[in-house]
Amino acid sequence: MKEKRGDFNFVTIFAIIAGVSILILSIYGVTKSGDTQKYQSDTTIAKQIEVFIDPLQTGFATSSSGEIDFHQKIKFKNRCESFTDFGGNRISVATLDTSRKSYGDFGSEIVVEDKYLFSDEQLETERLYTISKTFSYPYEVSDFIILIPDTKQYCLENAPEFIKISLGALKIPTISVENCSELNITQVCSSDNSCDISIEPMCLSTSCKTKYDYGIVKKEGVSVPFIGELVYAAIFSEEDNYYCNVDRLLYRTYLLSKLYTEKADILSARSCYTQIKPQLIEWTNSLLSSEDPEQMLDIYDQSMNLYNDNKAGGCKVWE
Amino acid sequence: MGMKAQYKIMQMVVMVLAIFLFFILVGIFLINSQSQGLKESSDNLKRAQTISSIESLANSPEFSCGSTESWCVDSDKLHIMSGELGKEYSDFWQISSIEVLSIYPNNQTDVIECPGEGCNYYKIYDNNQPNKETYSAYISLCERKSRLIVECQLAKLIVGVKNV
Repeated sequence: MKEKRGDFNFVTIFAIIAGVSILILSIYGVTKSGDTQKYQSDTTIAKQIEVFIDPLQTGFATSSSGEIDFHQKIKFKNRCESFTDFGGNRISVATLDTSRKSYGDFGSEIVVEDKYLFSDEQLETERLYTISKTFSYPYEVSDFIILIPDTKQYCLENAPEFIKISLGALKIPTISVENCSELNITQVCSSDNSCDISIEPMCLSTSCKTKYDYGIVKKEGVSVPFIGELVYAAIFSEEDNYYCNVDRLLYRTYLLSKLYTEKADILSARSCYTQIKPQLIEWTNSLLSSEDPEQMLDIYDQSMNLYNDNKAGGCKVWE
Repeated sequence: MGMKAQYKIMQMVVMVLAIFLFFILVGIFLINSQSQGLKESSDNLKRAQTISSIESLANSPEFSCGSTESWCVDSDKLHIMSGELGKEYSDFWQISSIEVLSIYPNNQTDVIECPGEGCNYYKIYDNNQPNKETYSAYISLCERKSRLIVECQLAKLIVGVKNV
């Protein structure tokens, strides 16, 4: 058969169709697999953060610090939820997509239920500095961790002395205790409304160890209450995240009060007498009825009485 | 249209389908190998987390003797946590099981679950997952007998992680 001019033969048509199909499929496949791998690696980073944080917790020291270096800029999201009993921190990470020069979607959220992570809800950083402190009310409840990005500088020059000593010893590069020279630095002061963050002491009774045993932290026009070491969490975290994690800590405080009430019974049955069972029952009820973390200052005196009675005589329910 | 042309079209359709099928199979293979890697890294992370959580578990206020003693577990707290209160923590533990087995001094050759006479084994929590891998650490298991006397035993804290 003689071929006419302008006719495509079968081989040409086939080569075009098959070639285009293969190209489209390959491009689609590579893009999809790249996205999937990025999603997988972002999820793995979030999970690794959770694992790395374990040994960074205080343990038996009064406080400790650590550093997580990602070797690249990341976006870190920390959503706190307190709807369920223990609640949880849902953490996720998005890494910078170098080809698109933007952050892609966040990886899958990792739910952290047995840790308390205080931070802003979203951080953009290459390094995360961690500070671990302990929440006691009046017994030890749990360690909590504060996450600080390397992009925000804090000046503690005019902060209360105990905060300067405690945080200065941790040698965190973004926290300056003296000679703050940078312009865009967040000033932390004691009872000074002109500062970015102001710490107001409220513990004025004779039973207080210091006037900063409890108080409020004023930040961006909002006041949040604190007890003991929660002052550090109040300085470095956003209001919603702070209240949510405090709510979670108070639930654990409530469960521990039930544990110690039962332990008081066991000790008394063993002739290791303790007087604090009625106070523990009262304390459990107070924790149950104070639904809002803002009410925690109202029961502070009760917690101090419980603490002193446990120390006073008989077998101690907690050491 | 001639028979030859029809035959050529059929040949083309079959070839295009075969190539599509080939790429789909390659895609499935890639996805499978990727998810295998994901599973493996998830298992490794879970394992690392369990190992690192043993210490924080032993030193948590729900188990520990006091805030000044490391790796010391209060047997009264174990007794309470293996009961009704422990059930409230079922969503809290990020592991599959927590058990404590007393080792020394122990006259029992059998494992006797607590509470009970001469018991030596506490099951605090178990979500009954099959294929579980366990990790353990030695602890002091202490009981306050009176204001001044505390009796301790050597025990093992056994923590389980699901082996997927």
